[in-house]
Amino acid sequence: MHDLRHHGLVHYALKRGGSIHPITLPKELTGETGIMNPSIFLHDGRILLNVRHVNYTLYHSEGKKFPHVWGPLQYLHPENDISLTTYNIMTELNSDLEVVNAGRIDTSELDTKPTWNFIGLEDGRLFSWDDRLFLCGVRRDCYDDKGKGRMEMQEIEYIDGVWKEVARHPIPAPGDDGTYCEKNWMPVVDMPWHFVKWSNPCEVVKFDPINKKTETVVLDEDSYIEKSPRLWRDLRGGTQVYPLNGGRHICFTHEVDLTKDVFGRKDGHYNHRVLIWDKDWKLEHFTKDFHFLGTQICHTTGNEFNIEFATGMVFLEDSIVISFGYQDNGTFLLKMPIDVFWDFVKRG
Amino acid sequence: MKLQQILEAHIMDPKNPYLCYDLAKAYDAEEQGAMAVSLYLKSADLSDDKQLQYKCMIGISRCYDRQRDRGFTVKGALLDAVALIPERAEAHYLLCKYFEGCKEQEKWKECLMHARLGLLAKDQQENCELGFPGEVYLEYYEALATWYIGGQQNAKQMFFDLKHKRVLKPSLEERVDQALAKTFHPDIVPYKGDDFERFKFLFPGLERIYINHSKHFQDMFVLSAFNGKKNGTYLEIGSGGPFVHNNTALLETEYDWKGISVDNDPGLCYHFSEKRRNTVICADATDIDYYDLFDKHCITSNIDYLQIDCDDVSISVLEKMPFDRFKFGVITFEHDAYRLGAEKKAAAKAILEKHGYKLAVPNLSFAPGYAYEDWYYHPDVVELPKEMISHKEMNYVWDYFMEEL
Repeated sequence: MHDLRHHGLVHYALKRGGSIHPITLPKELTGETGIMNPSIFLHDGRILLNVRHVNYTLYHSEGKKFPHVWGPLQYLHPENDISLTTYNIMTELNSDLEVVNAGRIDTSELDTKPTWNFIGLEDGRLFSWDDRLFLCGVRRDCYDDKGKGRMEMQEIEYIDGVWKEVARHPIPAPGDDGTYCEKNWMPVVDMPWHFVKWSNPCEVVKFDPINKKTETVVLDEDSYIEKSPRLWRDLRGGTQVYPLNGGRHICFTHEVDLTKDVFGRKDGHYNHRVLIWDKDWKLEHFTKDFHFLGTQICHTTGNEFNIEFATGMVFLEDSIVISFGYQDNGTFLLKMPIDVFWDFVKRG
Repeated sequence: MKLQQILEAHIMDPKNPYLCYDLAKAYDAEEQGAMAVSLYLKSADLSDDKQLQYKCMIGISRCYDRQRDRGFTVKGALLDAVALIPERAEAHYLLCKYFEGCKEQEKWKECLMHARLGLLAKDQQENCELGFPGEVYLEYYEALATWYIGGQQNAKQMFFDLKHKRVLKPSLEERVDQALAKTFHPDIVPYKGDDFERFKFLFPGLERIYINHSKHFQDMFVLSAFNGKKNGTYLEIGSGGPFVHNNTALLETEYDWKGISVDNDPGLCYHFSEKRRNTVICADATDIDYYDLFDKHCITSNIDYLQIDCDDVSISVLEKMPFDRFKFGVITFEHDAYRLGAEKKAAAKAILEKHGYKLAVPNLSFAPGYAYEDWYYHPDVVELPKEMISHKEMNYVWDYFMEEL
């Protein structure tokens, strides 16, 4: 089996006819700070890609040879502005997965004065329900001054050459809405208003935009897969969830090892998997964990270092395209021949 | 090579720090600073090659600098580079630039330290990849920091040397010009042995002169006019001290000239008498009967050099000179037209031309636009080489004496 942890899925794909597509955006749009966690989606025959643009650049000395004075992993925003602000940039791609146009989504009509310093809709997944295009991510700037976060759907339209937010739907947590922060819910593209909130055990929730309520519609605690050497971390959210034949569903998810250096300064290490649920949302299959672009490894501790995040995928004719961010600073598309992908899923 | 191809090369050999660096540079070149930062860091982490790590740290600083308002991080990356290879110049230069942009006054001492450390580097060639334009820029920061720390003549002299002794790119020349205009030009423009190759008016013994004493080359003008004459004579009115800014010290000590100096400052005269062999008279130059003075000192023939440097009363002194009995080979006359206007200068010119003197160097200036002396000669006493006769209305002292670079 290919060494997916150290070389990565992109390496695997390139050796089998796949391709990697770096996404760059004009500095006039980004100021050269981070662009990441892209979400690709096919809408009305157009290949759209939402890119999260932030006002910071992550400084991550993976090998810890050159840590920042504040630690090996730091979000470096302007020194006169402590906020970590997210903007969403919508791009349209051609069939070669090249950016043909890009522009910031105009949210000005619905924005409110921030109450916390994480500003904007973060890690938005792009999808459509009932022909309406949505971006769904977490917002933490409007609930309190302590960072409470809730999933939020932005309905967006292309009006007079500009992508505009035309409606905003905050999504309460199911039950008493008493949690601190909800994020990384994965929209199920063939089930309007449904999200996979958690992957193991699978929890599917349904949002009612009229009554502004969320209810859990699937949660089978007995389907929980015990932690084992093959699956030892929590499975978190990832891309959109797509239907497969037989009522099954598929997505990419991520999982995290949060670590600290000897001075107690935080660091992190991300892995991904492909999950397949059966028609009853029981986890039918999951691949080994992997990276996209490979990783470094500390030869003394065995610790690995990598931050990546896949937040979009799309099936295009005879291939699959996965959009992922790297180190909060870069945006990539991995295109894999569909048979190579399924072979990988099967063998992984 | 396209970014995508460089990316593929990196992916196929992801532990290769040099390929990672190539990718970082490609992102950097496309002004994708954030991604370039990640890759520079990764390359540096993957490698044990200090030269590569050094370049990565500079790349990181460059990217954060472009993103603005991240100075602390820019500085940190540059300090990492210095810590890796202290003896390279590039990071020191970039730190100078960084400190120049800081607000705190104490930045200038750090700027000066890095300028001087950079100037110690063995290799100071321009390095475009690392944004280092060459050692002369370190000299600029040395001058700038020195000026802001002390505000003294040495900083002005550094700017002067940059302006007149180094070949500068237009952008730096503009900055040096601004600095000279802001700090004002140095009080003195000395001749130094290093200037030998560029000195226009060669004369015997020039190669032995390590440094002159005049403020603005007056002694060099006299020696050039007389082709390094030995045992010449002078009358120096307004002599000042024995050596500092003195126009006859070099003539006396190196060429055995004899003469009389006059000044109205008792302290300077005492000092003069202690340090110099030739005569000094402490008196008000406007009170002296020069016929009597010449008689007492048995002066019967022409005198090679007359200096009149008496600020506002120079013209009064000139009027008392015994031109009907004596001729002077060369006269340096201070008219201070830049502050007193052209009237006294014109009066002096009328007097001297009436007695057969010719203007060799009009409006000698110590800074562009600051004319303060005219230099004359008498063709009956000295045959001035034609190249020493300036036809320019204004003569900046450095340009008059020195060949262009």
